[in-house]
Amino acid sequence: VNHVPSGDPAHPAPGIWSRRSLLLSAGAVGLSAMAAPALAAVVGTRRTSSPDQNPAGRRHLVLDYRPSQQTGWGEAYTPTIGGHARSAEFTYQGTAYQVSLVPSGHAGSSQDPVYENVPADPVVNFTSTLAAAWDACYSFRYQGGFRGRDEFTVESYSTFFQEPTQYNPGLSYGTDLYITYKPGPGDPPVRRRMYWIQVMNWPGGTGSSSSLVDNDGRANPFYGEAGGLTSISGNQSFSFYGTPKNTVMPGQGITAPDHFTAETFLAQDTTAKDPSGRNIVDIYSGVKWGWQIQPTG
Amino acid sequence: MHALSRLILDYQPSQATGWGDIYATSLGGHSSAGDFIYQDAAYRVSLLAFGQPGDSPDPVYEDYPADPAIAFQSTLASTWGAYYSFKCLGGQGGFSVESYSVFVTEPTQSDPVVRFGGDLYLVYRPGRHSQLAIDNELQFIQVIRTNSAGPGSTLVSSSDTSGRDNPFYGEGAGLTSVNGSQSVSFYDRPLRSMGGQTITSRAPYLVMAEAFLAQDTGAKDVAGKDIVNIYGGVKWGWQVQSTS
Repeated sequence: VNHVPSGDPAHPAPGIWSRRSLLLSAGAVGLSAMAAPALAAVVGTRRTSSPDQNPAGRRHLVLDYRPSQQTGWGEAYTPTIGGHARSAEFTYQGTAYQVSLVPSGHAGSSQDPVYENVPADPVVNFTSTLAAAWDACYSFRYQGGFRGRDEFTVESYSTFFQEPTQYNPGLSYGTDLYITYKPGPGDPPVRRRMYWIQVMNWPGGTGSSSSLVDNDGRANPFYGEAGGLTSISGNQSFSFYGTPKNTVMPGQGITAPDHFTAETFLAQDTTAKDPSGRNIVDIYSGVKWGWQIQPTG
Repeated sequence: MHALSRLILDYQPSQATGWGDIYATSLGGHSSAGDFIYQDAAYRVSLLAFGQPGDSPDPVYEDYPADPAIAFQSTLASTWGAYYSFKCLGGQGGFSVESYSVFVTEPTQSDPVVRFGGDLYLVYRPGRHSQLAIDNELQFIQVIRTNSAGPGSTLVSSSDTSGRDNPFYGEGAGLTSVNGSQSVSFYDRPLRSMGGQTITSRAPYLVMAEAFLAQDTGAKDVAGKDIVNIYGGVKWGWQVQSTS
C-alpha cells in the first residue's frame, strides 16, 4: 500500500530536504490544487530552447508548455501545475516576497530550463557531488550529450505559492518541472535501465550550502519516484517530475533570499562493472533549472 | 518448477531495498504476530495463514492470481480494462522472501498513537530459463482487499496504484539498484493506527493482497490497449483482532 503515513517510528522520515517529506508536510491536498489559486499559467506554442543563445538546447530541448496534465506518477506527483508561470508574489507577516524561476544565464534573460551536454554549473557541482556520495559503488561515465534531436520536451515549468487553508495550515511556495524524454536515432532507449540523476543546491531547504544527490534516501544515486519509465492511460512515457517547495508553518519565518538550483541528467545503469567492481553508470544529457525567493518590500 | 521452489524463504535482517523514503529499509525477519494493549483492551496483529498449518505462515506463491475473494483479474479489468489488456502467462523464475513481519509501535506520552501492520519484501529471481529481460518494463501489480470503512466493515478489493494513471504499484516495486547491484523487487508496509482525536479502535481489521510481477510491453492489442503480461506472484496479508 503506497503512501503509508510517514510517522512510522520504526523508519523515521528522512531530513526535511526530501522531496517526499516536503510534499507530505503539506497534507493530502494535491499539488495542483494547492497551486491553482496562485497560478496564471502561460501556455505557449511549441518551440526549441533559447534559439539564439543555446545552440545545444536548440537541437535537443523542445519547449512545449501545456496545461496541467497527468504524469503517470503517484498522487503527490500528478497532475502537473502546467504552463510556464515565471513568478509568483505574496505577502507574509507584512513582508512582500517574489518566487521566480532562475534566469537561464544566457543572453536574453530566458527563464526556461537550460539544456546541457554535461553538467557544468559550478554551484551545483554535479560531478564532484555525485562522485563523493556514490563512488564506492558506482562509476560514472559522462557521454557528452545526445546523438539525436528533440529528445527532451518541457511541458510544465511554473512557480507557485499556496496560502494556508483549514487543512493545510502552512504557506507553501516552489516550482514544478515536468520533462519527457523521447530518444532519437542513436540515443538510449527508454526501457534499458534508464534513470534520472539529480544534484541540487538548496541552502534554505537543506540547511547547507553544499549540494546533495536527490535520491530520497535510496541505496543508489537515482531519482526514483516520479522519474523514469511510467505509463499514462495505456501509453508508455519516460519522464521527470520535480516539485521542490518549502512549507512555512504558522509562527515560522521565511528563509529569504534563498534559491533552489538543480541539474537533472538522464542516466543508464549499464550493469557492467569497472575493474574495481563498481557498477558503471552512463550519464547522457540533462537540464539545469531552479527557482529563487527574495523579499521585495 | 512447483510452487515451493518458486518461493525461496530467505528471511534477512533489516536491509536496504533500493527504494526511497519509508521504503528504504525492510523491517526484516519473519515476525508472525505481535500483541498490544490500547485503552485497557488487548489486541493481536498477525500474518494471515491462508490455510497454512502452524502459527508462522509464509506468503503463498501463485503462478496465476487465484484468490476468489481478492478477485485480482476482475478488479484489474474493471478498473483498467479501457486502456490495458492483461495476459496472465504463469510464473517465470521465482521470488526470494526476505522480510515478512508484523510490527507494533507502542504509544508514548508525546505520541499517544499505537501503530501496527506488516511488511513484505520480495526479490525476483529470474532463474536459468526465464525469458524476461531485466529492465524498466518489469513492474508489479497489486490488488488489495481490506475493510472499506473502518473496523469490521465490508471488505473491498482495489487496484493499489497510489493514484497513478496506470495499474502498476509504482514506488517500491520494479527495477532498482542496491549499492551497485540491479534488483527487481517488491516492498510494501501497510500500517494502521489507533488513537488521535477520533479513532479509538481499528479491530477487527484485515489486509490481504495478491502482488504479481508484470511487464508493460508497450505493444498494443487490436483494440489499441496496452498489453501487460502478468507472471507469478504471491498472496499475503495481516489482520488485527481483539483478544480481550
